[in-house]
Amino acid sequence: MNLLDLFRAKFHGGIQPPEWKKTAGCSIQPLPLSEQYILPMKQHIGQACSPLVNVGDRVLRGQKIARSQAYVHAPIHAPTSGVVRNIAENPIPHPSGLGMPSIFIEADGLDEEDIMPCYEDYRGVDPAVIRERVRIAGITGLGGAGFPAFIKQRKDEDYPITTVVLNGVECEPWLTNDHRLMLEYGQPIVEGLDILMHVVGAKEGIIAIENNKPDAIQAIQMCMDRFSGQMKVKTLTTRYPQGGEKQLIQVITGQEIPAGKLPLHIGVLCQNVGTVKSIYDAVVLGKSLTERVVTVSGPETPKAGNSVIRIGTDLRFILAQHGLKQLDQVKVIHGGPMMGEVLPNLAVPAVKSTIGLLAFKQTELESIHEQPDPCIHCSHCVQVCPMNLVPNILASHCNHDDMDKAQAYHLFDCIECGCCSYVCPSHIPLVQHFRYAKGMVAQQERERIFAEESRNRSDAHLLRVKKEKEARAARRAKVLAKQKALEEKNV
Amino acid sequence: MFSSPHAHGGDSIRKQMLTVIFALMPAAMTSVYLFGWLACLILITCIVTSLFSEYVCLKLMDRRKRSLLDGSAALTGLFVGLVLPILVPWWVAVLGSSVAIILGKQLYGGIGYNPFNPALTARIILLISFPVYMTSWAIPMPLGQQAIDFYDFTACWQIFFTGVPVQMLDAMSMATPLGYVKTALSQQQTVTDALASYHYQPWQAFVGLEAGSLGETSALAILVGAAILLSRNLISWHIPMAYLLTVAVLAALFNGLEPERYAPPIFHLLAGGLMLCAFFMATDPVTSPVTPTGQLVFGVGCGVLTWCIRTYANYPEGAMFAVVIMNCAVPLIDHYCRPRVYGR
Repeated sequence: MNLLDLFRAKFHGGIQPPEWKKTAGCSIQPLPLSEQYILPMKQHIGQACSPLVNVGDRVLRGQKIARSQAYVHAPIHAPTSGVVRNIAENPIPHPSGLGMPSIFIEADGLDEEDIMPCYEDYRGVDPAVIRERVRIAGITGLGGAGFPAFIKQRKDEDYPITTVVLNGVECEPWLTNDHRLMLEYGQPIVEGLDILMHVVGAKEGIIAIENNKPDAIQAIQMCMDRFSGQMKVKTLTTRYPQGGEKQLIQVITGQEIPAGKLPLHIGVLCQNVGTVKSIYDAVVLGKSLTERVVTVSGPETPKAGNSVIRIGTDLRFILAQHGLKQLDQVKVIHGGPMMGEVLPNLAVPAVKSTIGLLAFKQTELESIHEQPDPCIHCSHCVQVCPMNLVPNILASHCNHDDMDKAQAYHLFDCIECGCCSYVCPSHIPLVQHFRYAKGMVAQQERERIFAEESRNRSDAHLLRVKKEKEARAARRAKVLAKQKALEEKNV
Repeated sequence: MFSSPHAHGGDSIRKQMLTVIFALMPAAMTSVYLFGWLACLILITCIVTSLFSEYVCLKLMDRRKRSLLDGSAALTGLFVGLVLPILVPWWVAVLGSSVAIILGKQLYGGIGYNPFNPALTARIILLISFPVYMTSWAIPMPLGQQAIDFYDFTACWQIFFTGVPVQMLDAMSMATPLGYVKTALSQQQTVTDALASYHYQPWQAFVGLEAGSLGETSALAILVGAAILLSRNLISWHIPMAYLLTVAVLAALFNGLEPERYAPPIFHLLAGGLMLCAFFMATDPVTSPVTPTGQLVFGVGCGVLTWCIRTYANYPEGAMFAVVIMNCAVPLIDHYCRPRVYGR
């Protein structure tokens, strides 16, 4: 990194890792149907769903098979037609290898689809109806976080949204699924943006694309002719983590989202281009979210490329379709190399937030995660932190379990982008320290609440015992007094 | 199991240290040009002693041996050599570099944990313990008139191991500009007279044709090294800029008020160890603040202290004291100069 770039960047810090986007020229290919699909009951941020179907039921593609009563949730739909074979615990793509109740669907190969009514003329439809459609279609943010999309489209009287920003930045190395989407599905994305602008009543639509994707910029601009005046493409200098919502909004609007607030508080709605394409599919074509684009790449993948996969497809099936069959010496990263997680087990299904599968040699990953040296305070982490934290001092507080100090150094503002670990000459796993500390603080908070409840209960108990004792004593005194009076009378 | 990120930029302590050593080469080469074989002998002795002390410490304290080859010990040795005067005997060089490693670094916990710059700590200890050796400055070779030919290996070998004969010391030594001005002031002369009688030429001080420690004399060589460090992002501009500007502003202010008593800014900037301290010592990552604001505060503090010590204290040169004193304040500075977090 050199000084000039620091001045040019519109958000603080950031890095420029090698891009490795070798699949940028691979057009999106559909994957053949698999025999079985497994759908975990929670693929989003929020409440887990509960199944709506029973074992033995026949389901159609796009049919809702699980939902939740909670506000923050996204229903789950069958990815193809077939029969529900089982509802049981199954591992999910998560580093812990933990399981989650899942619906097992055996495909019948017919792929019959259940389509909702289409709103081709969406501008004439009530925004509330479209928003409800986005909710029912089970659309979550497809950029990786998996936040239910309809919630962001809430209309708030106090905070009118003026700008819709589409995130086509794709700043993670290796990943090219958003890039290909913009090239091949420019029209749906641009119309999807128009749908969003209609729903929230925004006047301005911006698609942010980094300058390492000139073909995508051109493709999107061609599709935008119809909407000129309201929409534009904003070309950004390539820089990680520009695709982070906070950083992107800062670059586009020049404003920071106040801590603890949401983009809507500064009048912005930010969505990933893939999400917007799904919104278009749901509104205009009546399709629920049952498929997404995944980049399958990495040095160990023989036939790297971008595939449309059905949600619930076994990861081993996806990798095998890309020529990767020997999996014992290989580690697969679920997501990008900067923020994705290494999977302990590949017998898991793809979920809505599966943006990429990157296969690396185990030894290669081990060499990246070298044994750390002591911090030499070179301040490179301070220079690259996009949130303007002081990562090395923060990590040392976390390392010493000093959670109060860690929070005073704004532990919870860390977005875990990994820039600090990337530049650290001592190979200190800073982000890992922050994750650990966040978990510890949450744990301590739970314990504190538990202790408080116990104390309240115990206090109440003591109070009750004391009252009972007093009442007993009072009764006894009364009886005694009565006895005394009687005795006196007798005497 | 590893957690993200699964990519690394490839930087390492070793790369950083080797780059700093590379950036010190212009200064080291200049010292060899000025003081011949004697400079070579001192630098090599310091580096070898540092590495040896580091090895012994790592072994005794059961620390990871790979720190030996990360370049930090060699760098400390080089630094110690560069801040020594040329006429020190071999055992001062050996003592200095082992003190730097053992007292300055390993006793605090090794690389990354030392609160004070090891090389400057060593120099201060030596200066206080052996003031005569540490303040005898030889006339550089290119200026001529020296009693001993520094380009003659055997002569240098003899001086280095048996010391300079006392009767020759006067003939081959001269005062540094800072020392000369200090003495002149104590004899009630004015700064302008002192500089005139010293035949002080700023350009000579800039290229390094004056008495001084091995690596401190040439501002030019240090600036070349600094350019390397800045371009490789191993130091940021904050500390040197704040440091030098503060010294310059203070000097200009007082020189403007009373030119008879206070030396001009150009004299201060080019004299003594200021340049080396500003670009290489004060910016030592381990002992300097990490936040940009903190670095500015640190630089200003170093500047004020340097100028004050030079002007008011007994020692002619204050840069090393200034940096080491400011090293104490680094944790405090870092705590109060945290940058404004995004959205707060």
